[in-house]
Amino acid sequence: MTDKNEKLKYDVAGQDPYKSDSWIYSDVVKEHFFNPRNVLLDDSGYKADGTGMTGSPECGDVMQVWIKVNPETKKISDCKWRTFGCASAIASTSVMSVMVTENNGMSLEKALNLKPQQILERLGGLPDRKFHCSVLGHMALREAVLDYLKKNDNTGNRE
Amino acid sequence: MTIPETENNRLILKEKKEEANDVVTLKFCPKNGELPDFRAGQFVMVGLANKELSGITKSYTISSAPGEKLLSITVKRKGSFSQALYDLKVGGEIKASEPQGFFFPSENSQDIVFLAGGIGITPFYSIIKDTFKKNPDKKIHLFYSNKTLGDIAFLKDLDKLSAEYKNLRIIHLLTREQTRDPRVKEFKRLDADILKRHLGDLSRKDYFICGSIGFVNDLWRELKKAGVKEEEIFTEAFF
Repeated sequence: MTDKNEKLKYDVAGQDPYKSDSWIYSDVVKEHFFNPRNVLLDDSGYKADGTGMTGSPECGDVMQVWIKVNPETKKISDCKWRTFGCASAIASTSVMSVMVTENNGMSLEKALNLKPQQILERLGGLPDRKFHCSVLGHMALREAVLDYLKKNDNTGNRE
Repeated sequence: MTIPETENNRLILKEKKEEANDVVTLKFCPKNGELPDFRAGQFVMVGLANKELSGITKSYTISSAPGEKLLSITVKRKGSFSQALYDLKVGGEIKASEPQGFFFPSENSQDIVFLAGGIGITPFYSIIKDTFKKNPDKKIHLFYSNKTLGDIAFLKDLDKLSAEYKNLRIIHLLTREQTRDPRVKEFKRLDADILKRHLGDLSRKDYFICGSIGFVNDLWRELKKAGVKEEEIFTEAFF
């Protein structure tokens, strides 16, 4: 993804996807919904270092996230995900999976501290009614990082 | 998310306290066993026995502090689920999940700024009580925005806390009412100018924002525009 692609674009003149009552999706949301990155449909052969799952009681979405961690740098080297969720959940998590793996990977501390607002910024906003979908990915990511830390004695070093 | 069917996650309503317009605190004791351990700032998923609302769960922040005899949640009457909780009678029962969530300052945070919009005060109320009980040297600024004076939950309790702890500063803001009440300092929406006026330098502080999605997202952008680093901002939006 380039900076240009991430810039907020308006589909309809005067419609701002950041406005709380808007139902307009940004081009970034649409791009990641139609071409989601890092989806893992069959996890049977995937050796994850940490896994996380969460669900939204509001709309029944379920989200799973798998991560691999570089043992040298303790940064996330791969992030896969799968959801039975809506367009906003798919686009949010797709963008998140790019954010945590780009530039040689995000540190575990930063990943634990990732906020929905950082994902929203990269998406060019989401309607308020879809905000809860954007939290699914980062909640599952947090579970995956905690799972990794638990398996590795909370230090990032294998037991 | 479902709450496991065990007898240990049943809570019984012992006391009810009106806090503000349409806001009530519900204080629970366990039906069996003991109250769960939790960190100030965490929430529980709540389920109700009502036929129409069975199977639905909603998250509510714990407004009591660890160590208090009863476990409290503070509810604003909004939507059918919160309305049913608001109407719950003493002796009534709810199901509650294990406490969860990560919205609290780290042990290392020394200079903490809380930005609360309306019912978004609940985690901060619990954290303030807990923090000063353990470490009165920490510094906390609470910016608490409401529409009207009657909407301010925990007003008297917050007065008491700020009288007791010199390191707690509370700045009340009202957006839809003018009042001569000396406790209210600002009469507009919270923004970076107001923060700068009261805090001076905005750097080297940990900011926690809690309230509606719009409140949280607006202040996130406002803080970032003012040069606050992303890793110094923590958010929890109520929806």
